[in-house]
Amino acid sequence: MNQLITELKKEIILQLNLQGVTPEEIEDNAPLFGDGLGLDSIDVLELIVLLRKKYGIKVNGAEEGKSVFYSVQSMAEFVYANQQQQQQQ
Amino acid sequence: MKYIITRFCRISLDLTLPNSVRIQTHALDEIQNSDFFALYKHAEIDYPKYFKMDSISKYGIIAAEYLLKGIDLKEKYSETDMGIVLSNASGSLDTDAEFQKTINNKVSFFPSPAIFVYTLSNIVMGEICIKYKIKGENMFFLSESVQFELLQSFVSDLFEKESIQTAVVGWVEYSLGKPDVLLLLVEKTDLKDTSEIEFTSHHIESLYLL
Amino acid sequence: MSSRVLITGIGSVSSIGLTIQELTDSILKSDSGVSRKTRLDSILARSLPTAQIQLSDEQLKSRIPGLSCKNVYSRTALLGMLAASEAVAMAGLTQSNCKAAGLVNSTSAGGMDKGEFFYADYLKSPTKGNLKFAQTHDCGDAAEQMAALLHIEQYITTISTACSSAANAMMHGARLIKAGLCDVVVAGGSDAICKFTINGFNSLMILSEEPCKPFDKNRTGLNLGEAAGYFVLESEASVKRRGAKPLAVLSGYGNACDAYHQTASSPNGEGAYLAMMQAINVSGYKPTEIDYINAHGTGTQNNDMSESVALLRIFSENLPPVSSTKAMTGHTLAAAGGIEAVMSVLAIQHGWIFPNKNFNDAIEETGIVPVTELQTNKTIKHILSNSFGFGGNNSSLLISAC
Repeated sequence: MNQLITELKKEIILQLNLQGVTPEEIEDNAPLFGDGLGLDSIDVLELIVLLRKKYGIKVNGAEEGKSVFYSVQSMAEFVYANQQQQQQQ
Repeated sequence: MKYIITRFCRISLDLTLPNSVRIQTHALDEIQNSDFFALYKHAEIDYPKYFKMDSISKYGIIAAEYLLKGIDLKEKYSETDMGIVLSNASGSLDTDAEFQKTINNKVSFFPSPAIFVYTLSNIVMGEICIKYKIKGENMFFLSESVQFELLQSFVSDLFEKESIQTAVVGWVEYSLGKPDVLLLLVEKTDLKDTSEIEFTSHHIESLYLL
Repeated sequence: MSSRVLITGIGSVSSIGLTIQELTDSILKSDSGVSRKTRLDSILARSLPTAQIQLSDEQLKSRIPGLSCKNVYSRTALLGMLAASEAVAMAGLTQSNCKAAGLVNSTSAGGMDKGEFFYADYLKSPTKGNLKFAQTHDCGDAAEQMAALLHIEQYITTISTACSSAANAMMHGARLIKAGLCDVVVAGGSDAICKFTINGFNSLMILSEEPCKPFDKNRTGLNLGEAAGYFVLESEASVKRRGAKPLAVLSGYGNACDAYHQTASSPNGEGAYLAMMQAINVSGYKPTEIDYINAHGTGTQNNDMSESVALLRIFSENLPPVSSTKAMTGHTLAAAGGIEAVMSVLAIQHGWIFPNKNFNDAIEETGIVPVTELQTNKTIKHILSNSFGFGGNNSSLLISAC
């Protein structure tokens, strides 16, 4: 899980062009939107693309996106759960 | 009442050095590295959203920063008194090609919303408005080359009708890696200071040809 | 001499009519052009409702006399030429009138319908791809083609401000006339649907999987469409000289920037509010004199909420009848302001208020209930027509009876 979290942080920085932000600066449980990293609605959409591109996981719209992308931790849990499901299939 | 160009910023590809642009303003004339991060640092902007923008918008923001450096328009004008009239030749073509790449390959098919957002001619104008809180008239024209007469007459008419009290006016073109930008700040004056540059099509052209 | 800007001709092409007569007939039946029929060869267009014109480019071309069979015309240009020709014919402009006229065209997609084919071939190999397709790509190309067809020479320009484009074109036309630079201006906008656009909007997750529901609390997004809509605008002096019969007056217009976000509108509808207020102020009429509002009303959560807030800021409890016609025409992007302005003139002429189709329940926070059935035999003197674009570019036109 820790490896996934670190990997996700790097991917988020790359996908969203977060210049000058390092993975160490992103707290696992800090909100990504609003005050946290200050991401906006377009960033959510890019994170949806990221999950499809990198992990083959589909997020069904902005509503589901709100809980999935709350923090890096919630993203990691979502990816992990989907990976488990994919392995079982 | 006269309309004058109180500030300007011209950015064009420098032909003497590789990967360089020439930035000329009312206050400076420099050659700079055209790398977008270097431009950002050199302009001393603190605006992380810049890095999410497409190339045209980045140049628009850099030019606007040099244009308005050291002044706060909001001290003199209300948000709705500030207008912006821009133009270019290729619309958002450079960014259109970037977006097309994300939908070209049927296997690796990942349309990018962050790129698509910039595939409209007027988004560069929207970004400048967001940063400087310009809420007055905003218009974007397309033409093969800079239409000096159109810009001068259109903007002057807005002033005359009192739709605006100041305007950012100009040309923001970017294609095949080459920026071609001219931004002007136009204001009213009733002073008879002969050193002021009157807002005429001839003067716009002179600044473009710098 | 009064300096009113008169509308002497209207022309439109959309999924609910290739001519003004067809549009009129569709309105009387409250038809919608939104369906799952697609001429566009795209997976998305097959799975999502859109409002496409079901004619091929060749079929459109055959309806426009005077075109060269050797030339390639973008679909956007063809739609524009068809609609603008109708407006010019309705106004009774001669070739000599047109020579001295101006053309203010607008588009967002330009020739992308051809350009995207060219580019796909070109990416495979630099020797592939029909160069003529690349030549029609520029946003300004349609204006050049239209001016050539209509013999307009005095003044030609192209505006591109996303979904407010055609409204801005009409506004610019009015200003040219008031400034005495032109006596006659053909103004409006045109956009053809293409894969680039539908894929892009889909990536923003604002396309509805069902026919759109403007102002409904359960709305899930917009339906893309394609269209063209044009006015012939004319000075009073020119109308008198020619003995022309004006259809309506472009009595007010306003444009403002929301300055909030590239694609989302501000929660307090600031840009929309400013644009509408400016249109009302320019007209000299009072908000209480507005008989009907043709809203931008795309059916997205964001626009309809923001626009509702702006409407209530201006009209509060005295909100005139309001509706969005996008459930009939789809969201035709740059052409939206054009076709909706044309429909506004028809509303004034016929005494109509258009239905806001697919509406069931009001947005809870604002409670606006639009008109849901076509209303006839109304006295419509003043209409406010809204068009709000990405980049925060918001425009509003006030169209009045003569």
